[in-house]
Amino acid sequence: MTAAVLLRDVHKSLGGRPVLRGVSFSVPRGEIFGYLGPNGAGKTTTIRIILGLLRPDSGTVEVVGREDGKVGFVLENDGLFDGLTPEGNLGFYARLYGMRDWRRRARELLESVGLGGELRKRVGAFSRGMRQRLALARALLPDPVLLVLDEPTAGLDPTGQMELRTLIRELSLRGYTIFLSSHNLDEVQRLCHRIALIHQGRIRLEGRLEEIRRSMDSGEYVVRLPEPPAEGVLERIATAGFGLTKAEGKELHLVPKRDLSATELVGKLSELGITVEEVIRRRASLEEIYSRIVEEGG
Amino acid sequence: MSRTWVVFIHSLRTNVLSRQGGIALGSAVVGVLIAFFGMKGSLVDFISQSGGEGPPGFLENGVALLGYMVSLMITVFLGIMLGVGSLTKEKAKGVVESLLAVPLRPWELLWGKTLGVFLPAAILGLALSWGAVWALNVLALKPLLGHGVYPWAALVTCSVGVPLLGFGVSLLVNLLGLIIPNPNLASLVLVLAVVGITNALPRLGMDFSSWKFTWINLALGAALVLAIFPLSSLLTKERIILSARRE
Repeated sequence: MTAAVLLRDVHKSLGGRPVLRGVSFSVPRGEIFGYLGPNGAGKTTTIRIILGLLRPDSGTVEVVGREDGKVGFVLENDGLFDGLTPEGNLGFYARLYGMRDWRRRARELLESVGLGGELRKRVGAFSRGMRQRLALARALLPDPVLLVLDEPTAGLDPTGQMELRTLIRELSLRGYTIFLSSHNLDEVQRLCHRIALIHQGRIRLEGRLEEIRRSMDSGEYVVRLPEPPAEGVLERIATAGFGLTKAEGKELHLVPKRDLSATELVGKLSELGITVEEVIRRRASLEEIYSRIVEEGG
Repeated sequence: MSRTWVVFIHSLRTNVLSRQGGIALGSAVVGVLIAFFGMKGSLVDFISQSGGEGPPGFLENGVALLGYMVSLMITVFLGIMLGVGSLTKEKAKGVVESLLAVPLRPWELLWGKTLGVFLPAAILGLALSWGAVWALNVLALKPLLGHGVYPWAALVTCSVGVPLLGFGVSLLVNLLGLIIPNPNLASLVLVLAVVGITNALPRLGMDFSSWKFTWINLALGAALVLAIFPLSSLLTKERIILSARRE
């Protein structure tokens, strides 16, 4: 199996309501895969299927390391024991994983997530950020081949979010395959190599972020002029067959009728007597792609 | 180390050291003391008035009732009070979901959790029921009658029948706790049914100190434990996860 996770045409209904309708995607090994979608889109159900907590009604699910307990996870509810210390929590899970000499590994992991100084505190007294870091340490206990993180930064303050993102990036650099569910677009853009967008139980997009942005490209250019356009310039542009989506000060947003390169565009504008200072091909942001898909709906 | 054992040890430690465990133990001990002094007073009055001569088996039945009530109160009630509360809380906090994702099998979770609440309750129930019977003999019966009264059938009921009953109830209550959203009402109904049945038997002419009563308790306990096997097909990860009420 070359992919760490492979879902093919997975369907799942809960309480008679279809939650996943033919979900397919693959997560390549060693990459951070962002799983995006609004609340209720089917993200948590997908994660539960990946972890073997729910069974799909139909379709194929292949997850590397699942049968050997080599899938680490951080779920929406961290599942930690408030009455135990961080080491106590890791010790309990380590025994469940069948690890004998777990103490050294637990200490190393606690150090690596910045909780080395909190060994004696009970987890019930931890902040949300500390709990998430501890949950991440627990996820790393069995030396997993896959990490499944369900909204790991939800509810964290900006500092906590940054710290956790840094940790996730470091883990990726160490070769871990990470499946990251989130509805934080900025986070996904910063961290992920590939993404899939799920909406109403269907995958609407899947691929590398750059590929997706290219495929969703509207062909729009941002043109900067040396000075605000003189009277009649905008009319000339419109009659020459350019779609004018925005004009603000010295900046114009143009969509040529047919696909033009930047040089060709500058040439065309020059023929119209318009001097151009700068031309930029505008790629759709993930936020725009996301809202376009979510607003289009069913 | 088996995973059932790991869950058992954790559950045992949590139950014994928890505040809820302390409250449950405290209320159970108060109940035992009330039952003990109530029964001691009744038997002392009876002996003083009748000189020990009365309906046949009255004294044996009184001692047996005390031992039985103490054993039932501790083994069944304490076990239930400890078990359901912690399981419902752990489900709501996502602990059970994390355990199943490890992946722990549902039956490993059920047996580990059940043993964690049942064993301390059963050991305590055994010690207190035998202790109550011994104390009643030493403090009241022996000084008045010159000999002790030990209803052996009832002591076997307290030592084997009630623990088996308690184990069956604990298993069922924990099973319900895992697969239904609000197990408290179902657990209460189950406990009341067990207490109702066991207390109705003497009214049907069966003495607490009789061997027949012992056999019925053993049979009821065994039936509850065996009922788990057909019911265990209901215990799936999916049912456990979907029945959790999130905090």
